[in-house]
Amino acid sequence: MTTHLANLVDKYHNLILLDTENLSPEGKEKYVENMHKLEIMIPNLEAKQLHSVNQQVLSETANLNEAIDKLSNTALSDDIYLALCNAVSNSIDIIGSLLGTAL
Amino acid sequence: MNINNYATIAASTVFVTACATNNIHNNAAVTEASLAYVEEFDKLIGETLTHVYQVDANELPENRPAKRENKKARLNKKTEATLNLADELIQTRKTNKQLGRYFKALQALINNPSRDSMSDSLGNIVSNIAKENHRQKNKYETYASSYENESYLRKLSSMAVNAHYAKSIKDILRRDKDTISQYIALQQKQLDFVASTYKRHKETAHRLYFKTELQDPYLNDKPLIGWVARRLEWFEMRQTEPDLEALMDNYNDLKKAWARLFQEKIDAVSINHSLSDANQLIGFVSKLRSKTDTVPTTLIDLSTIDTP
Repeated sequence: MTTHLANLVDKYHNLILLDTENLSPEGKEKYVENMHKLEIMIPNLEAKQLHSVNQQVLSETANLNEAIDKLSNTALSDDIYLALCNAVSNSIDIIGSLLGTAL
Repeated sequence: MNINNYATIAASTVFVTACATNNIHNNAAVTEASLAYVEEFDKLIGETLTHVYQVDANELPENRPAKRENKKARLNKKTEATLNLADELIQTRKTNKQLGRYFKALQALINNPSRDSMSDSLGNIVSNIAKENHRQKNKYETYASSYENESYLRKLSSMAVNAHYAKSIKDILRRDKDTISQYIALQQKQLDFVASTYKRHKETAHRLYFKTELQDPYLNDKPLIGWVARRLEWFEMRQTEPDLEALMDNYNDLKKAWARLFQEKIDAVSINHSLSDANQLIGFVSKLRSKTDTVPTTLIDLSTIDTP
């Protein structure tokens, strides 16, 4: 949280607990106006700050997706390699049994 | 090849693959802790969203403008501001899930069940080739004398496959080092923002509760029906503040554990030390949830609000 945002939050939190009962009509109007401004400014500032980090993260997302794809391809290559190993193993078994039969 | 040859090869292979196997265990531990973090961060974002909606709904009825057009303008602006913040939190949630996808894919590779199958298949191939060699050299006599070698061959195959996986994962981590380091660093910033947004909304909720449920009835000489219970409830809320600083410290430990893996400074003790702290993440937000059940929602019934 930036200092500016922290200051706004402090002001807002203090204003919430202000006893407005004895304020003049003008004072009350000003109070309500300030509260409305703060209730909108604070979440907008929070959103803006989070947005800037989110944008930085999004700029890295393409690289992350690429990394995920490569990981999946590695797993796929291992599966293909496993299938190949099984095929070779079975072939040797068959050759072995054929030789056994021939002899 | 006699038994001594197999034993020599096996001893050398054990030496080479022991470190590789240890690295796989460290990678698995850090990846598992990272997945737990992703899950906890997701829950924290969900809790923060709930607080954002609750505070919005509790703020609006307070200090309603007198004029109809001002009421409408306020409602629209407040809705826009709350949705802006909610959209960013939802976006953070999406990128967190994306990082989770990477860790899941890495974990799947580390714990790949086909590793055992591959080891068996390789063992079969090597064993069958050895049988055929034996049969040819011994004019197709029985293979019985070589059966004892078969278990060594299978062990060697298993070690070779483990070494292959360890190298494969090491290569992946080298390749992805920059992307994941950058992503983890940025996610720490996201965590800081989300945690501070969570704390801010919780404090706002407490103050709104204090004003409407305690201060206003007390100062305005209204009948204090149920007031004592609400005041005790308010004290209870203050006592159960979650320690978000600990969550952020734990994330820092997890970040350090990844840095050690990326630097290939594989030291099981230091990694385990980091993870013993990082593992405290697990269930953190679940505890937080049980504590935040006391967050004031009594001003307005929010049970019908949908959380995306």
